[in-house]
Amino acid sequence: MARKFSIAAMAMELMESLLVRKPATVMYPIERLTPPDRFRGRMKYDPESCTLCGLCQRDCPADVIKVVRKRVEREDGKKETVGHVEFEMDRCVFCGQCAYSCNSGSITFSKDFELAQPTRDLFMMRGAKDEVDDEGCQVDTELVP
Amino acid sequence: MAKLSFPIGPQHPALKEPENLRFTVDGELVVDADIRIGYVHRSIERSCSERNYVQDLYLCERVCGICSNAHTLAFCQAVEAIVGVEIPERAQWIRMLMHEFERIHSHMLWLGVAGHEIGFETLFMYVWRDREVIQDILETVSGNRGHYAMTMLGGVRYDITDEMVGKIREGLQFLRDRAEHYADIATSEQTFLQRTANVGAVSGERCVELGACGPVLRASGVGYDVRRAFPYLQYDKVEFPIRTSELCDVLGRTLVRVREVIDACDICFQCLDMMPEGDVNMRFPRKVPEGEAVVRIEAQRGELIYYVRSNGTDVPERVKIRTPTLANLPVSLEMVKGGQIADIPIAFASIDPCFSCTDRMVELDDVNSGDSRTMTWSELVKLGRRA
Repeated sequence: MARKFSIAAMAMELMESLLVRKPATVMYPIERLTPPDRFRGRMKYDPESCTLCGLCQRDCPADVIKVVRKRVEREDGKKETVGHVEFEMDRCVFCGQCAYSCNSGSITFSKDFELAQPTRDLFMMRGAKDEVDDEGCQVDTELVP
Repeated sequence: MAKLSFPIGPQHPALKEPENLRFTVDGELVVDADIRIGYVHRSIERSCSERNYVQDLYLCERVCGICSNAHTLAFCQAVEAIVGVEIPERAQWIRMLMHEFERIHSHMLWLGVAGHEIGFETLFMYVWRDREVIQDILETVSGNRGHYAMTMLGGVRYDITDEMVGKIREGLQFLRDRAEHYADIATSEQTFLQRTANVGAVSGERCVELGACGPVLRASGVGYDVRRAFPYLQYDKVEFPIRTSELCDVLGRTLVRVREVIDACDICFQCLDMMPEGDVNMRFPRKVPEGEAVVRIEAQRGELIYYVRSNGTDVPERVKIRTPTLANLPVSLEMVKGGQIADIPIAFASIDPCFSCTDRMVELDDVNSGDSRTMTWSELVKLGRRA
């Protein structure tokens, strides 16, 4: 089969690659690329807006989330749900299903992609709506409407 | 000279994934070949029966890191078929777009690997540099470079915005031009031709006999493509040729894949033109009514088959996955027979194998006596070591 590429064309391409084109890579960590808007980086949890419904726990494919909640009676006689949510982020696969399932927008993902930690304990994340003691019950997924 | 039989693997520097290959050689010629798989069995099918449909979506996505979207697509299509819903039209077009994006990135990845296997590292570097364009597009659309989590039950998670369309078109046009350039290289570059022409040849008849699928089958002159034979999504509305080659060798498989990259770009352009406005997902029931469905789609490596059986709860009773590599493995053994030892890597690589996707475990009960057997953990460990 005949060779289609001339030496001159190859030389031109070589000169172009040496003089005009920039490297395909960047000098990380001096230079950092900006992830796109939909990037799923470090998870952020807002306990204030969380309703402790447990939908995130039910849908999480990696068993990252544990919702602990309890119904308590306030001084004015009204009942409210208090509790906290525990995240074992070392297991997270960053699928974003928790954020999608969350009706109150309490879980979001940031653009921070540098998530390495020296120990596993540092991956544990805890967000309390109101502290609940050990008597607080873990959300049973069957009870979630 | 006496024939010599030797194993390669399961752990070997030449292998990307653990598998056991056994070759019988006569001098430099390969006389016989056999393969033993099962070293990366992950019990995914069984695990699917332990989780709800939403969780299974991400489990199926992790069957393969390269064709992850194809797995979620097949799973979703199967579950949606059982429920009997039709997802919004725009979602179908976006699913199709993602399906073709993935085909582009997978075929370009394969072309780079093929260059690496034949010692043509320059091709490997150039192709993988160009592949970054489609990776950037996938990241922009879905948020991730791999495991996109884009396809979900009832549609897709994200819409394609007007700002994205311009970037996608620009990237696809660049990739289309580059793919044409690589098609020229594959047919004119002597380094490439000498390592791929007449290597790993298998006839079309033999491919059909052994149940090959995908680009391997098409490169042997058999024009079978699930997208055309059993159209799904909106494939019946777009125009695309079925790329075949009569060469039947590694060169033919390369040309089919490179030309499919060009076609995939064209399909994506048509998708962007024809995509209607509307919703991209719909409310999907948590509990799936009793039923079963089989879905076949044309993944990058070939025909991917999903079988899902539901029992009326939010957990499937059975999920069965047939990956294209399993169908292509018998043909891959035929490819190396009669060839040189030095051609084994590229001949095997030409089916674009993925052993982690393929490993399944089948335990057959004795049908006549009705006897079944329970294996203990120690027995399983023993079996694994023997394998």
